[in-house]
Amino acid sequence: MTRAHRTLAMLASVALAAGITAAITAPAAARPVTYTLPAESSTLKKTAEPGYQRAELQCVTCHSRDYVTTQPRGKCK
Amino acid sequence: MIDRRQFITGAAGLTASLGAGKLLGRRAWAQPAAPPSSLPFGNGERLLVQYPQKRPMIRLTERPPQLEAPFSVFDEGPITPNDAFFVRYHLASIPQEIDPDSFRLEVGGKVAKPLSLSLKELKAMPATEVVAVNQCSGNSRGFFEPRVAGGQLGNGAMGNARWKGVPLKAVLDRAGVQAVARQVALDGLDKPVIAATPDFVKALDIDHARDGEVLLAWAMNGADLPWLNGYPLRVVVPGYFGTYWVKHVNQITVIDTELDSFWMKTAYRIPDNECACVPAGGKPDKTRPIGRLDVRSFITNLADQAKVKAGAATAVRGIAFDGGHGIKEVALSIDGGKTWKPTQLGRDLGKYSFRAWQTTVKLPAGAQAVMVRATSRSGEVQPMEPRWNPAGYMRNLVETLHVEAA
Repeated sequence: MTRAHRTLAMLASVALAAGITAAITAPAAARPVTYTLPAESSTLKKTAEPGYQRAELQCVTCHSRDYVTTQPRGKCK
Repeated sequence: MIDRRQFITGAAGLTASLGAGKLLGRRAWAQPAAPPSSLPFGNGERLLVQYPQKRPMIRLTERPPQLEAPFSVFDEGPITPNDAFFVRYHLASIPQEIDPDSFRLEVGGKVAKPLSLSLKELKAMPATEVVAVNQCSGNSRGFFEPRVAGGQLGNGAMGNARWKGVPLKAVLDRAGVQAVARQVALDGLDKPVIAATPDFVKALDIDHARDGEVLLAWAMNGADLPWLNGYPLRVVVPGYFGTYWVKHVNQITVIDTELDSFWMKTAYRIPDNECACVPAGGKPDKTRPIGRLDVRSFITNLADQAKVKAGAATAVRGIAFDGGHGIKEVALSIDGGKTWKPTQLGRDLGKYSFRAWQTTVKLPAGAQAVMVRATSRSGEVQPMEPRWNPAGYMRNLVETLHVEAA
């Protein structure tokens, strides 16, 4: 595990520990049924690289940051 | 802040009453459910997280949610519990409120009579059941070498459940498919965040859609579908990779063309040859949509690097499956694949199901490698070398478990 990975894992853990949102039952009543997703907690390591700003501005519109951070490091074909 | 015990209690209550009525989103606070879990490939550090209706699962991504089962789940038996079944979405705008009374399945396109069916109407039709494996096309992608971009999954993006629903054929027959029909397009409630992203729509050829085996399922292992597995209705395509098992399905369109959708024409395609493979790092000349599951097997009761007693009978067990012929044999090798010893197969739950197997082996002292290899009734055998393709689909080589006998 590199230092960058450790930092990411640690940040993610802290964010999780700080709280997630979850759906809990209410007494049986009227419909509809709802589902509440946990609050998002994954982060990107802040760097001076242009890719960081771009990811924070663009990529996160459509998906969480872990779409980026879980990819293999510089090894993809 | 409530403690972990209270949180788990809340989650259990949710599961028990989901079918009955209303769920309200309410803030709950929880620690990570268990220590971080790592997958055994580079950058494979993951967190175990607990979502409503789910036990702690390995989180791949949050938005949209993608969760894989901790591998120990597969040692609990050939049926994967609903709360451990993997979750895979493509688009982040996933439904968070559904009214099962006003939900409608729309059936249109090249049909004599368009339909708008409620869940009640669907459930009033003759239902059928099938035990079938749903496996993500990219299950095990993280083990590809060279690595490929995409969801970096271990082996947990698969599961086996008893699905109950109405045959898609019955619904199509009720609508009256026109003679010009070529494919059936399947769309669900999950939508892209921005208009530029193609909606997740999949298609089955008309004959496949009308084979009587493809289901519109509302129940899984005797309960409503879990939300993240497609509540209240999903497509079940026995023998086929999960990409066709459209979740929250609410729109079925019969078309007289081949569906021109990103998710059919660009994504989820494999090299158009017998092995669905190219030399590692290469590019295929021609591709086709991914289809049936290839044959696989796993040891489930021993973890890699497990310690066992040398010279003693060690129980080894696991699961095997294929794309719908059924499993003929599962064999073990402890000599690097030179010789194979058959195992005892467990109860046959149907040709689309996980097949349990078990045996005992005596391992001499030292570092040992135990290999497991399944053969389907059609004669398909797992390969000894990995097959590579650029998207990281269909991994199925013979798995090797390294253990220490002492």
